[in-house]
Amino acid sequence: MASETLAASGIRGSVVEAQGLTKIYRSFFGGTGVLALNKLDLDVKQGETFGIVGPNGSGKTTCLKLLLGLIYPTGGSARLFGRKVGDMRARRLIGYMPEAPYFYDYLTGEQLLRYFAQFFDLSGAQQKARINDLLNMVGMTERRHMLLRHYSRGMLQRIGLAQALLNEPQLLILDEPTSGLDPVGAYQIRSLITDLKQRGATIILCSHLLNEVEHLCDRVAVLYRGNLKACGTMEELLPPASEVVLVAEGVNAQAQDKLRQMGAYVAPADGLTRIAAPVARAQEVLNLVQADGGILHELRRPRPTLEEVFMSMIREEAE
Amino acid sequence: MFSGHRRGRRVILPALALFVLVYPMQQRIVKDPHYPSEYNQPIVNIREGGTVAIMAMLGGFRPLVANLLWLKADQYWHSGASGWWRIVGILQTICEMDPHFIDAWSTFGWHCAWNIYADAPDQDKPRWIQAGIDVYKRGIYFNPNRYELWKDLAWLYHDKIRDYQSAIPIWKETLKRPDCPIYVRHMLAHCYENTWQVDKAIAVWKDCLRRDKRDYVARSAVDWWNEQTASKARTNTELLRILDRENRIRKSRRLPLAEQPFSIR
Amino acid sequence: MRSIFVIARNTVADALSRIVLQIILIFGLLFLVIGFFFTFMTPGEEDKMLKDLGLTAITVFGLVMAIFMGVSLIQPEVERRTVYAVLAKPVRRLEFMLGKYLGAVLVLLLSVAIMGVVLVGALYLKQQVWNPGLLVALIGTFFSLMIMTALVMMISTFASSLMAVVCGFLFWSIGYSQIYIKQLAEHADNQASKYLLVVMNTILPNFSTLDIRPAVVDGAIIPMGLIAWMVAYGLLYTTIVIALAAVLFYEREL
Repeated sequence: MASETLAASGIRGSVVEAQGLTKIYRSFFGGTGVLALNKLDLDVKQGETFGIVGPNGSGKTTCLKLLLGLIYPTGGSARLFGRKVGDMRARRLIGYMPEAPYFYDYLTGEQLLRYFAQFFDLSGAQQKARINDLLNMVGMTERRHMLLRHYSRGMLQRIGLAQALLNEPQLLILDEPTSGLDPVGAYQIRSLITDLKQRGATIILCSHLLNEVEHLCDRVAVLYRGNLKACGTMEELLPPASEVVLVAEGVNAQAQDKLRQMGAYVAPADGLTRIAAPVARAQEVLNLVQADGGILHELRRPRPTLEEVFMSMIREEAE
Repeated sequence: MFSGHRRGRRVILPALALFVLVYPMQQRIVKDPHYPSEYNQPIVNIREGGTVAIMAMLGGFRPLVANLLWLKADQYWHSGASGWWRIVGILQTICEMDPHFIDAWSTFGWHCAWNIYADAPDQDKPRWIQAGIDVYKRGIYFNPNRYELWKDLAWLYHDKIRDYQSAIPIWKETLKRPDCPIYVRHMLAHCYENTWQVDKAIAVWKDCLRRDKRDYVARSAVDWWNEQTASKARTNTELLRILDRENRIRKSRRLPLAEQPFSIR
Repeated sequence: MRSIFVIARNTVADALSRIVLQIILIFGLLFLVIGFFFTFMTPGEEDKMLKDLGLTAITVFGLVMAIFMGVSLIQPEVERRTVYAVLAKPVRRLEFMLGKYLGAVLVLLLSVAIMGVVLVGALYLKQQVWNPGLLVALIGTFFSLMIMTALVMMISTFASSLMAVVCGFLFWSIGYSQIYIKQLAEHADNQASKYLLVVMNTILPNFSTLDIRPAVVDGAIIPMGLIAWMVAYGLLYTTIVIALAAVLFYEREL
């Protein structure tokens, strides 16, 4: 069990801190190189689920690899639990699930977990108990003795998640956890992540599936071509729309005209009337519809999806 | 070029510094008397074997290549006189590749001094005798404690050249080697007889008998000499006539050796 | 430290599960045994030829195995990205590399030992004479193979597997050609060439130093002192190569 605490680390609240993190991939002989990450600043708080999103080649995986010490920064720095990247004391608190995990295919699921468990300070009994719990959690108890080479993609993802949780990590880093899964498999993984979130784990979730991130994450960083385009909570990134939408039945033509005069957009169709009006006049519109004898079916204040916001950012960038 | 993590770089200089120890350690090993340094000599005169032999040699498989060439030599052996001359090159390569291949040295020397000698033109014959001597001497250089090559060299002087005086010290050296067969002592005795050193011959025969009382050859020789020398006090001339009549001795012949022998490394 | 042994054990299990290595070992054993069905000329020659053939077979197949093991330690782990899951754990890159290398060495030791025992057994069946002394020759062979595995592993940390294999065979040839490099150095025209060749003579591996097979076949008794020096040389050279491999592995972007 990881023994380090944030209080002991001296940093209050921040599990991951990155300042000006930059990565340029150069060829063996030098040259200009490819800018994979450009001066990224990150601050992931304890207990939050932090998403990193972006299209392919935006620098998401580069960012994760820099945090794990698999590659080295060209500029800037990062700290995990207040310690430098690569510090073994910080490494003991991390769980990492790589993208499309590939493990030693001659091992069974249980053998793989036992192999990884040996890297932590766990006794034999602790290892056994932990492995049983994890196999149960990811739903692989019945297939524990099956060789990994016979595992489907979804099963490998689940074992990948299990091995990331062996040390009950304080920071869980998931790279494309639902990549390549069918809807059922993806749902199951998302459920597991939600469960971990509820248990208070700090999670960094890296994905190009924006709707998944939108539902799971507290805060999101949007990367594009190595640059941080936006970072914040869903409320900050996805402001609600400036209008309300009503769907009502039985709104007569007279009422519709009055609504148009108020500045609302009215679209009758199939017996129902769809009305979009500015937020400031929402109450007026509602009162008018009800006074006219209309039956309200739906009233909502829509906000854009993360995908819509992201695509608009990309379009702006292109222009 | 190295733009990454610096932790590993701390090791570079200490690692390179360790190379300072490598050379003295190598020298300590190759200079050890028990180290087979003869297999560490460069081969510059590969007569036979071709590319495969060279490749195998570079891979550290010299003894194996020598064995395979030995088999090839056997093939030429049975192909008649036309193959005999090619065998010389093969045997030389084998001996260079595997200096401890006793049979190869033995066959090589014998082949030069007997077979090729018989086939060679008269003016070359002395050089082939000398070639045989050189081969045996070179083989002895690499295998000083093996009796076989000493015995072969002694026999070359004894039987081919018929220089019994020169053969005597070589037979003596042969006797010093382990596992030396019994007949070597007989040959020494014959050499003394052929050089008319009768007392020494008798002493050797008696020594043979002392070592093995069932040595019937030594018994017969001792009895004969006792009969000739005891109580009858025959003159040397009379003894010589008896010895000659009984074909007991062979006169030295001393085949001429080459002034400019072949260079057999 | 514990991580090293954990990884080593996994490497051994991985190697033993590979069909390729099993095939190499089986072919090696077959080659050892098959020579005993042929009769060579005189008994004296036969004894020498069988021993030479046997020890050479062990060296050849051991070399193939050493190169194969060396190539499969680091590069495939990086290519298949199995290394990410391991290095994300509290495992240093040096521990990972040492663990992989130790596992490979254990597999080599096992293979050479099995082939050596089969050789001694086959010689006994053929000649009814025990020759356990032959196994002494394999000590030098084993350390040569250890150096080879380390060299190939070092090359594979920054080059492709194919290049590492080619370099492996080149190193082996160079290791047995040191006598020619030394001769060139002695006859070099200018001082610069001389020093360069001396440096090459020192830096490049010298497998002849560890080769006592012909002496053992010839029946020579090799004293423990000489064997100790050979072991020391093998360990020293291996340590240097592993250290350089570690530097390269630390520099590598995964």
